[in-house]
Amino acid sequence: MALTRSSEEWKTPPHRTLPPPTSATETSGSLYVVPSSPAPAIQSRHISVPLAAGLTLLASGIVYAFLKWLLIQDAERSPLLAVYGAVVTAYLFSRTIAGHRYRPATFETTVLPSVAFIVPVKNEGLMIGVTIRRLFDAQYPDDRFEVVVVNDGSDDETATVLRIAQRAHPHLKVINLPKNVGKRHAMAAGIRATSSDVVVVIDSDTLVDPNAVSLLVRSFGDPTVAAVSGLTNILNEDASALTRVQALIYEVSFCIHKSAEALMSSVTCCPGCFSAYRRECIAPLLDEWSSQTFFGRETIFGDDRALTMLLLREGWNVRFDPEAVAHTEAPVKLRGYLRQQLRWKKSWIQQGLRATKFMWRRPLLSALWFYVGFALSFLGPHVLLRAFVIGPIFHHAFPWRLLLGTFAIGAGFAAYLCFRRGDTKRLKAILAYPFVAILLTLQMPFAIARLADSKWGTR
Amino acid sequence: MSFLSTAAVLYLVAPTGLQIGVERRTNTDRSIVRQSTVPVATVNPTDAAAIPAILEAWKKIDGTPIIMSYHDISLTPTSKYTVTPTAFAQQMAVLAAMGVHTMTASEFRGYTEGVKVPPRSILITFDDGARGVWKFADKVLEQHKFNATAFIITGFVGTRAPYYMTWNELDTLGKTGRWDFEAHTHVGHTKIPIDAEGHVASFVSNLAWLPEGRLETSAEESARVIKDLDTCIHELQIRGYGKGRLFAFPYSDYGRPSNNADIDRTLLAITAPRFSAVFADDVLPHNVSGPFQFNRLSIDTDVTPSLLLSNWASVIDQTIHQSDPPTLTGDTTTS
Repeated sequence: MALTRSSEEWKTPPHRTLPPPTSATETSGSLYVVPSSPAPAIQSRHISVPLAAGLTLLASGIVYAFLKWLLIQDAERSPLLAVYGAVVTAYLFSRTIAGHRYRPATFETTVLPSVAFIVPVKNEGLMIGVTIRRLFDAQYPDDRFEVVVVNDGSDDETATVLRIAQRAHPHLKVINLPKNVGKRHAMAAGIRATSSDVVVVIDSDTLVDPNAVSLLVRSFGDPTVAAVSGLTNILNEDASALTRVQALIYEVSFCIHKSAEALMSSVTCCPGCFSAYRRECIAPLLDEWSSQTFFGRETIFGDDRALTMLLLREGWNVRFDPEAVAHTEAPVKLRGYLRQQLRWKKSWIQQGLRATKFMWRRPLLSALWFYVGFALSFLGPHVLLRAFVIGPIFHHAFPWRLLLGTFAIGAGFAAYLCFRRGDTKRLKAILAYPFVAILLTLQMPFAIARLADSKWGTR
Repeated sequence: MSFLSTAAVLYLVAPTGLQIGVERRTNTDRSIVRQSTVPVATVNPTDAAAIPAILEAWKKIDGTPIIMSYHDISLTPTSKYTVTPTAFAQQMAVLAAMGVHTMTASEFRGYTEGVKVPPRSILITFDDGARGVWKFADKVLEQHKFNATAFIITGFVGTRAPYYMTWNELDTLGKTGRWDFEAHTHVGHTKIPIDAEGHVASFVSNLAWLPEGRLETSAEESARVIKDLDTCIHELQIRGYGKGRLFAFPYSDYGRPSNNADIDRTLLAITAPRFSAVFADDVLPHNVSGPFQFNRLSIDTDVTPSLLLSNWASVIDQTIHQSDPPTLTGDTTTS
């Protein structure tokens, strides 16, 4: 009932109607460069995109097929490995096909919900001024748009910066919390302080495309949708081989995995760097969300996945809009990256364990994906151990099949993305991909060991 | 250590342990490990000087082969049955200096059927089919163009890696023409419970303690052992081995110790129809060897070339003084 009323509200004519949403690549003149536009330098090379991507796709397909053929040949000798191979193949291919088929739902965008950005900050110093200014660049009607900054007990000049920013931006709401309460509580305070229809959560270092908000909220035209994830690109993808691999992994996770989940309206994580929630849907869950514990200790990280999972549990639909684009900085050094990934992995385990209790109620395919994916992530380290330890000892076999398989999967995804993007940029990451993928898999036991350790670690 | 750290360690170790356990128990291993070349050994002058006297004595028993038994060849001997590659190479060099004729399994079968053998005939045997046979022994035998026979536990081939040889390694050895593979049980090279207290003893030589709380009868033991031996023979035959129809007793024991009062007759009834010869080490009455049961000279870790020669001399001496025909129903207490 409440939902219908909310939809009615949105139909009140807004002060200003927006031009139809433009695609992300047409935002020239904005404060920052949108890196997703095709790079002409690559286009002018003597090898064409379809040729390079097509050859890579063909080669990786042949290698993958050959490896699977070997597994079938060995099925009698190692049936478990053959089953594992079949499950992984079915998982990857079904996700890719579903992700490829997904298109964001488009609804009439002239009726706009009111939107509030929620920005939890702590000791961000002068930088927060820049973030706020950029947020107010959003192409969205002023009277249906506000920014709520929650100052989570900063002990630097953040409060002063916010006071100054408020003079320039009357729609900036600042909540000063007297002492540090943690990200989830700060976000909850911000969400409670607004009465907007939609809250958009961003990280303090996220840069949001000006048209992204209006694109992001269009999915809420469907009254069953409670949350929408935007697409986040990596700003500094050319900084190192590691950031190039991250750009590939990001794009795979958005354009394949999240898209596939969105086809079933069951996206399992709306990233904290740029996602929108229907306030009415999350308001009753805020207390439960901000006080979640694991082994008796309050869970600090994984706020985004936790909130998304709560919505899925309540039966809401969660979607993804690949045209609503934001940008974020990725860790350049391996150390920082591994720390971030360990945090993500811990939240994946914690929230995954909770989700096993209700994901079966979701559409069949998304439930299957979830349980299979959750199980596979625990099996990963053992497959690696088998290839790198058991194989060499008992079969005197170098783990070339595993390395080649990981390589083929990375190259296949990169080639697919080349077709989608119209450039060959992602192919640069395929050599380093297997090593990063193996490192991340090996983090699993460490993530389990430190599950209850709620230290954030720095970015 | 906290609960979660324990969980993480268990998560990592338990499935890995399981995998290792499965790998060690399945004989589907197709691997072929690298063979090691052992430097050619020479016989030192002192040992060389002792040889002519031994050869002279040996002439008196021409036509009676001397049988040697090895188990594993390894760089790191873990039991007294393991010989280092260097020691093995030295021993083979001594044999070569004596000008021995190394018999094949088929030749030995011929011998049991009455065919005369060349002077200074010997049979080199290896029990169990351990990896060292493939890894070290083969290359040393190749240097001297020697033949040898390995007694294979067919059910253990390719299991408990890296201990046992794989079928691929056996097949590679078989193709050299140097090697014969004969029976050493299928999975009977093991110990079974023989009483309610859980004491264990050799599978072949004992009445098993059954789950219903009684000992097997002699007939039941026969049926059990026959089933195992026939599987072993079958496994060898389908691969083209076992032509000599030879059998080495597990633990080289020939029915001792046994809880079956009728063990000698039982074993004879089982083995006689199936094999042309059976082997044990130093457990038959010392003077008993042939024409069906054969005593072997067991070569242990600490056998130097000079000790080998002196043992050789005493084997010849014992064979010369062997008076009684082999008997297994009499006193079989061993020295």
